[in-house]
Amino acid sequence: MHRPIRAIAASGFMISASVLSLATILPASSAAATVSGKKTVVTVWSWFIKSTMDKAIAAFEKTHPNVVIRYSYYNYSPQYLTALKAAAASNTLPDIIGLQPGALTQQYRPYLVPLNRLAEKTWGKNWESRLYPVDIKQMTMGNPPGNSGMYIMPQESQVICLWYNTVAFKRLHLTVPTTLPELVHDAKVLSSHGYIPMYQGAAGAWQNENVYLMLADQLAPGLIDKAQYGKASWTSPALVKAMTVWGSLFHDGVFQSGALGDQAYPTGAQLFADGRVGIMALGSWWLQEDRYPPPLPPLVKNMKGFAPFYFPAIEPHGHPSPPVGGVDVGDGLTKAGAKIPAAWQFLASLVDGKGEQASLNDLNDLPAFKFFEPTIPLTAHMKSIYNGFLVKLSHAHNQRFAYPVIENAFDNALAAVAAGTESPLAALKKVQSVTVSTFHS
Amino acid sequence: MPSRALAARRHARRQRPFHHLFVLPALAIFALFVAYPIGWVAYTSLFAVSLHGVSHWAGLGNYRSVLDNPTFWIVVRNMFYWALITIPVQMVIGGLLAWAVEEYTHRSRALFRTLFFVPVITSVVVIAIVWSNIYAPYYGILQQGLSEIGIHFQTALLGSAGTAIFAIIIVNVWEWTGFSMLMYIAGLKTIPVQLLEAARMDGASGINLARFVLVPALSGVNRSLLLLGVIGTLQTFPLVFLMTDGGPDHASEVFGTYIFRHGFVLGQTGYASALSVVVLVIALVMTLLQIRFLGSKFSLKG
Amino acid sequence: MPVLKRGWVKLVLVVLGVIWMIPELYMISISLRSPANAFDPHLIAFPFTLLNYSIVLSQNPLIRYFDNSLIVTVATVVIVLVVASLSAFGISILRLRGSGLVYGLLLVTLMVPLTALVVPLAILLGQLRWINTYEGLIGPYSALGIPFAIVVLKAFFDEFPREIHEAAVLDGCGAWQLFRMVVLPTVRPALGFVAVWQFITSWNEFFLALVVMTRSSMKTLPLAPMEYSGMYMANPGALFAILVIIAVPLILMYIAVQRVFVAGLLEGAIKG
Repeated sequence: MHRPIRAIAASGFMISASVLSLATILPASSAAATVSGKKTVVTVWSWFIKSTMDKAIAAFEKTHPNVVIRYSYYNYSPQYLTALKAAAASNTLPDIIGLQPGALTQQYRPYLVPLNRLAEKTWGKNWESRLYPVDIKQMTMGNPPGNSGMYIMPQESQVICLWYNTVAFKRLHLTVPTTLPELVHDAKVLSSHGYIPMYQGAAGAWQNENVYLMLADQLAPGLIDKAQYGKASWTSPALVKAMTVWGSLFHDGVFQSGALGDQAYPTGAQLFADGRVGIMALGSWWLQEDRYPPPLPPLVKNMKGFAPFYFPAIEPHGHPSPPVGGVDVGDGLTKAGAKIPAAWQFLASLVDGKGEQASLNDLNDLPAFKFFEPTIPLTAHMKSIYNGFLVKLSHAHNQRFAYPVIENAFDNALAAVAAGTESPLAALKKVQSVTVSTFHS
Repeated sequence: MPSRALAARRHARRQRPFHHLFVLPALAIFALFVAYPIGWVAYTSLFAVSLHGVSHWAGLGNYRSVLDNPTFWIVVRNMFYWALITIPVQMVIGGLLAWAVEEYTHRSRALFRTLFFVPVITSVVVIAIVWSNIYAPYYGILQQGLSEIGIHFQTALLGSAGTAIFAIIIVNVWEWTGFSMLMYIAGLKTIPVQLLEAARMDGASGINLARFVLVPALSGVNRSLLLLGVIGTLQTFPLVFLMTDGGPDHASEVFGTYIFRHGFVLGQTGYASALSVVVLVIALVMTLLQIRFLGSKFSLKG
Repeated sequence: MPVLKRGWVKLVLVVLGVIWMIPELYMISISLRSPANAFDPHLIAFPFTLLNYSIVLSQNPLIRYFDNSLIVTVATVVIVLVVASLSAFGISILRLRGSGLVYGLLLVTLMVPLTALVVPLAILLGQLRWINTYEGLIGPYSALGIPFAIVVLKAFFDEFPREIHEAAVLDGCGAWQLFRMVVLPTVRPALGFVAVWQFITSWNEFFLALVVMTRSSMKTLPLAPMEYSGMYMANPGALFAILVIIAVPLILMYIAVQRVFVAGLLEGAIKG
């Protein structure tokens, strides 16, 4: 029994000297290493799916043989947010970072360069006309007054919507709901046959925001966009009504029980793809499931088992929700990246070039630049879904928030109403007071 | 002899300047990786950032916002739950397991010692993912298993504000009970065999044996586990972070996740720093209380 | 009667032992499932497939992650052993002035949540140019491990007989010789305990690793599931195969050295 102990203790002291010296010999490899051999290295971080990004990188490197792109994939929250924050603190941000417009871009604006001039040089004076209006609007969201810098370039656009499981609906003889009572009814039927009615990953914030935006923009188009800038009250009747409906989705059996503890990704997406869910609030990016590396669940192949629809009418004679959307994922150029011409070239290729083509062919999401299309063969079903999204995108309402503090207060309100700990009005009053104090400090 | 000892002590004292080299490496590492970060946190806790990213002096403003925020008090409540449940439960189950393994097994003793210790050496990343799956509604094995014996849950344990923190506490108890068991096994070894025999001769058994012989003899282990339990409570982070991220609606928020949310997700460095300082002060108070009432020693002896 | 009682206690132990192992069995079970039965709500679901392991091992640099974990962990263990035993000796045997204060500081350090220190640590490591280097993890891991090691070692050192110390000093034995020749050999079990414990904690740490190792070639094993959970969205079994690959080596290592670990604890307890 004594021998191993002695061995550990004795070797410990002997190794210590060597390890300590080893530590000093090891290259102090900093992230600022830009040249490896003769090749220029560009570092990129994002939550953009790795298999697709790798294709975009391969396409770019083929035409730029002297450039090496190093891509680090992170799950968005919390891993990506952690890595970004730490890298900003330690001054080791990569050259290109994936961003969402608004709050996240604003948080890292001090580390980024405006891209207006580079874009003009690459795509000509009228380049903005090739983008979708909702994207253009989002690119400067939250900028200080007088700052028209675009710190984010849209890599892809999206429209958020509801998807339903066509196989389950057919089996249970359900029709796509066009009114709220129909939705509640369908959810009951789905539940009683062992399906998860409408899967909501309410533990995270984004899917909650999306559903609420569908509700709010149906009742009062554009009102929430005024409220987040302090130009309308969060306690306006339409927003309170939307909040009441939001809460009812949890209590009327539309969402699955325990939704507040569930994540949309990966769990919800997996269950939905597996055919065990009736409805889920996702968006145009759901098409990409068809292109994931195999083995794949049968329903997602050519989107055989899925079709999109928009949130049913809340009021008796109302209309379904208008499309909401904007930039899916964008990219920013850091101050370090601005010193490397190849970094912008790669970023531009992700937005309007070979890189973007590779992403579109993976059906990752809708293009940022108009008139770009997937060049792979698609079934008629897929094609009609895709084109439907493109039409909706051109008049989509904004889905993003400009300020993290206000977005967080809003997320808290959604969670509190969902959990039943606060009334819709009381929850929105808190958001209103945070908004007021934010704009008065 | 006393004079010999005195001479030795005097001799030892003479060499003191050189002797301090023994603690120098630890102090240097402490200064660099602990003291400096704490100083930084204390300093930045006095600043706030405006809507458009300009940093400005905030004095004690951040501290006031921290204490005014109702979520902070949910966190404090959760930390109490955590300490008051995990520490005694782990001690009781761990102690009983130790007694059972040491007294009633022979050939399988090493097997049981290892088996209950496996969760302690399993990475928390692994534990969090696996247990999230166990708790999952619709496809998790817990609800399925319970429904087969007639217990049906209306809600998901991790997804309900009323149960989330307790669901994570159960995982923590599962993870760490093996450690308590091992400590008690070591503690049992310190009890002189004669003492146990004498007690048995006097007819002590069951509760009496435990109360009058075992518990006093194991007071060193109890104190050590209490110390480690308080440390573990304040350090709680990865499990909650990976399983609920403090949700739903902040119901399972602990200090670690709450600091993370403000510092990393919301970019409120000043606020997060003030929160950190508050936790540091709590840690300091807890340390002083422990030293005052329990002594500072980590020992397995009664 | 005692035989009967022994039987019951053993039965309870076996049942508890099985319950205790369910999460680990469940992990292995899911890793053996294809997407078709990945969501089966039972502990075991047939048929088994080893496909996930071949997918995971062919697509990921897990070996590289393993090497990184090993380098960081071994170096941390060595540094912690050296630095902590020196300090515990100074505090406990030499009874240096200010020892009480130093010891108090260490106890506070043990209670500081890591989240509170991560941002300044990142700034510091950036200034040292230690991001994406082994030192970047070895340094903070050592700093966070040393306090506990000192607390444990001090408890052992405190039991070192004062008379031997005094006799050694009178015989002209300097502090270094006393440490090296007399004290250290008697606390070997404690060193074994500290080494194994430090190995486990460093090997499993993920939060600092997430912050410090941003380059794929430098990542440690606990980061693998997070990095690949997005990639295996359509196939949960593959993610669980990664979990098994992470968990099993350490469990095997523990089984191999558990005698050292338990012996350290037991011997310390008996002597202490």
